[in-house]
Amino acid sequence: MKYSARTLALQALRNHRGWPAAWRHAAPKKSYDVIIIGGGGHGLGAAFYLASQHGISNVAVLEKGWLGGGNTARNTMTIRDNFLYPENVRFHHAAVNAWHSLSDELNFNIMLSKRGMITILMSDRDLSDAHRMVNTTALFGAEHRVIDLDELQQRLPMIATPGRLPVVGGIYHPNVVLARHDAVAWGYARAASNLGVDIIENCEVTDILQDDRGVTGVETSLGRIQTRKLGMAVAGHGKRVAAMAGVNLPIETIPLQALVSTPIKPVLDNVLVLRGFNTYFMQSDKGELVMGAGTDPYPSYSQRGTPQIPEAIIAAILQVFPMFERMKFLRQWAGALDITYDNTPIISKTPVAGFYVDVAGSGGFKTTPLAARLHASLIANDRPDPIIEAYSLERFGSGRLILERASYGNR
Amino acid sequence: MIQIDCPYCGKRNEDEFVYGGDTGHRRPEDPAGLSDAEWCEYIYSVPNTRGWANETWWHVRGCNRWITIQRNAESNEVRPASQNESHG
Repeated sequence: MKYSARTLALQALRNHRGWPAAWRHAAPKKSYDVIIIGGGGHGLGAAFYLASQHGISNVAVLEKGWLGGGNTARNTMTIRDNFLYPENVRFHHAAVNAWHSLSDELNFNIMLSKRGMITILMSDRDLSDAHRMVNTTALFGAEHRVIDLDELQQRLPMIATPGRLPVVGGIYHPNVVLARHDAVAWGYARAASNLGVDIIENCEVTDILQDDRGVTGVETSLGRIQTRKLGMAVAGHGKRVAAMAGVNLPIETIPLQALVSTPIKPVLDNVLVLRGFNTYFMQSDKGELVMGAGTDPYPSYSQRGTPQIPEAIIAAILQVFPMFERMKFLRQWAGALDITYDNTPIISKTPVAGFYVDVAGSGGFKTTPLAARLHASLIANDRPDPIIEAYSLERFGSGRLILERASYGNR
Repeated sequence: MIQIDCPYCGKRNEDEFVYGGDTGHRRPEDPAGLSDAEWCEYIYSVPNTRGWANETWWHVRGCNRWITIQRNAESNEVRPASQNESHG
């Protein structure tokens, strides 16, 4: 069923009793052309693009839990493009632009909201770094702009400038958007399912099978399924799943925390970043302040995180925005991030023929549509698009790392 | 907050410590004798165990010693490293 004003009106006349399920709950077939492990935004997206752009619709997405229940549900919805190194600037600039048409492409409202972001700078060092970043990224068409204290105060009248930590200016990032994270998984699932993709929840992959020509299938909690092409879009457990194929991914699992306040009336339109405190926050459509932290100080699979992190970022935010002092803290959680040594994703072939990975996004929600599309083309064509050549697994052997400091995995 | 039992100072909050890594991830004895692939594996790949592992922690805001404990990376429970299994 196509979603439209007409459908909505017709359903309203029937008291909304006639809406069909958005996607089919499929049982696994014996074999598929492609299997994707991981039913989050990246995995469902890859399945959708395989079917819509490469004509491969005999595809299954295997999800251990429920659809979109991992880091797709745990991120802070922020889609940003403030990166420094050429490979990342190109990739993330294109990634942000890929969001704009997504609602139309999927016929599903992902509630894209063009908020813009402001990085608040608190030292002369920050300011000179900001000029470097803005000028470097301008070469690749990114549109960041350094703003002075006057403009910053005009945009954020509630900012406390004479605090212990002087605010000296900011960077305005006009392209930053928010999108409803769950809707991204649901939209991709619905669109992929309509094109014939099987979405199989509660199906845990327990082994990856191969012969001398490469991948032959997977062993799952629902039995053996055959395939010659296997894509992995797993967050938090990428190393463990890849190890089933004998591939040792250079990643470590570290919690990344977020927290929200109780809702208040609209007070903030931009996403705000406090540089130097590893924190950022924004106001959601529901009115909550959503705050994100840097990574925890040690690796863990626990999706809780360590309590000194929220304490520190709340203290930092209150230094600069004392008006939020009496707000109530509502809830806190962590996502298990797969982080590479250089905080840069791996979207790559592996030493095992027919086994492809899209992992370690270091906060990978923001790249979902582009990473999924390029993962799909990698699987279909067995060669990477030029834009992701730098994200190959081989960089760890050649030493051609991209030491990106703007990812949240930065420590 | 994890409470780590330092053998010298007793139970202390984790924020007095700095994580030092999995004791199973040790610098190879003879780096020059390794292939590039083996060396890269040591540099970039950590064990990342889901479950119990021996780890070193530095009690930097306490007695300043390095200690070895066991931590479960799934639940964040900690217990003393058993003498038999300790690598560090």
